[in-house]
Amino acid sequence: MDHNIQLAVSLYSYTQQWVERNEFSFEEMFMHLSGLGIHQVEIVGAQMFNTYPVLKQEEVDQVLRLANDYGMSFCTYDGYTDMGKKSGIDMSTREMLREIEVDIQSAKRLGCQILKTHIPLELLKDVEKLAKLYDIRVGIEIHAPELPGNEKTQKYIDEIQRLQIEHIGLVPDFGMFILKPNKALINKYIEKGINEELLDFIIENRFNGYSETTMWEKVRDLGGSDIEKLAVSEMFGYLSWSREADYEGLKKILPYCIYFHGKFYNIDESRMETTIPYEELLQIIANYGFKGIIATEYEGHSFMLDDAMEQIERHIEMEREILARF
Amino acid sequence: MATKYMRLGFKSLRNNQISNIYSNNKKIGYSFEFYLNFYRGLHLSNIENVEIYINDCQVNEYSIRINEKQFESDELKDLFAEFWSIKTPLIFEIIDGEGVKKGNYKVEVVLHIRCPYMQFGPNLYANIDSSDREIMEVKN
Repeated sequence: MDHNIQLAVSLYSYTQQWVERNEFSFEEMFMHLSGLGIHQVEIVGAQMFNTYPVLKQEEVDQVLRLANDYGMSFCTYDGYTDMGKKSGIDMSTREMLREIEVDIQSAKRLGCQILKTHIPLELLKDVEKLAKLYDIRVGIEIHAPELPGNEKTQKYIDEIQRLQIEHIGLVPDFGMFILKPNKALINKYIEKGINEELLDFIIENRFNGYSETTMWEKVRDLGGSDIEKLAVSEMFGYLSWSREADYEGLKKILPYCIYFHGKFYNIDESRMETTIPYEELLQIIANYGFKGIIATEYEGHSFMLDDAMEQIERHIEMEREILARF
Repeated sequence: MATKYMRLGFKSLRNNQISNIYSNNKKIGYSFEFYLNFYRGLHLSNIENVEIYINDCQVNEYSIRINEKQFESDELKDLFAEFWSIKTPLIFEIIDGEGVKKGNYKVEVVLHIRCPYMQFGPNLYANIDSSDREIMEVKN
């Protein structure tokens, strides 16, 4: 094994259990991960703490104590820039910078090496100063429906180069490489009573020149209601797919990547992701010589299958099996 | 996740129970819990629309109890520092002087929330639908 890739797990992977079961605790997650030989985790501030953005010290102390008991450390803090927090007015850049600083402080309190967040282009230079001051790296997530090779991603790279940024990098999410709609997604819509003809229309015409807005207008005119609206929104949004994976785009941004979100939706019994080409992605990343962490991020709560434990286990097994070849 | 309209599958009306509120042993109103149907907590200022229906009749006056504080419905828009955690229910409190009789009631809450990190234009954000309906029981 010649690669320098470490595996971690985002606690976001347990979203369904965390949200639905009051008794589901950090201890259960740490115990599960410890059994899988995982010792680094990512934590989502606005999901896992009762106060956000400023975390209660008591809650921070408790989670650190438990992490220590199970041999866990926090590699990454997942923060947000809630620019629409105030009603009727967008946050100013000064307020956004302050929010990012609070997230950096929370990340440091938890011992994280990386804060993953959103940074507007115009704040890159200021966030670089903060990251240097606090001695932390800040990652900008590149997420579906964006692609590694698109204009928005390129603008970040141009600015990182121009400003000679050292502490900020990119965090590509593997959800950008979905190649077809997930079977569990189709089943979810059917269970909720979607008009299957309209669902077929959305899928068949996903790349026929429609935007999310014009597709919804068309589907609404054909008789669509709430469930069809949800399908349009998800299929043009975070569950979007591409006809071809943007491998070339990924190769170009690799020098700027500091961390990866190993997003996934379904690993089958043969330990293969059914819609995301993990083998090819891991090969590209390992061959490049990436040194760092890929964090498992299961988003199965989109389908409410209550199978996070099994899916995380399969994902780790799959990654280890693929990476062992490089 | 950049998606303009979001509706996850979590139940907001989760414990199927309405509780009467008493003062001097007399029923003066009732309350019930309501969770956020999302994967993370949000600020109360992000709530853009609330409608409550009990047996199809709209309830116009209610207050909200959370984080050991109580707010009126028209105060929500200003509460950008008040966090609604994913593990904490809002408690809708309706003081109508009467409360409710034992039995089952059809409760529907329409609740839409601005997703504050998913911006599509100036002051234009994705919409989270956390509405729910449930048959709920009054026991006390």
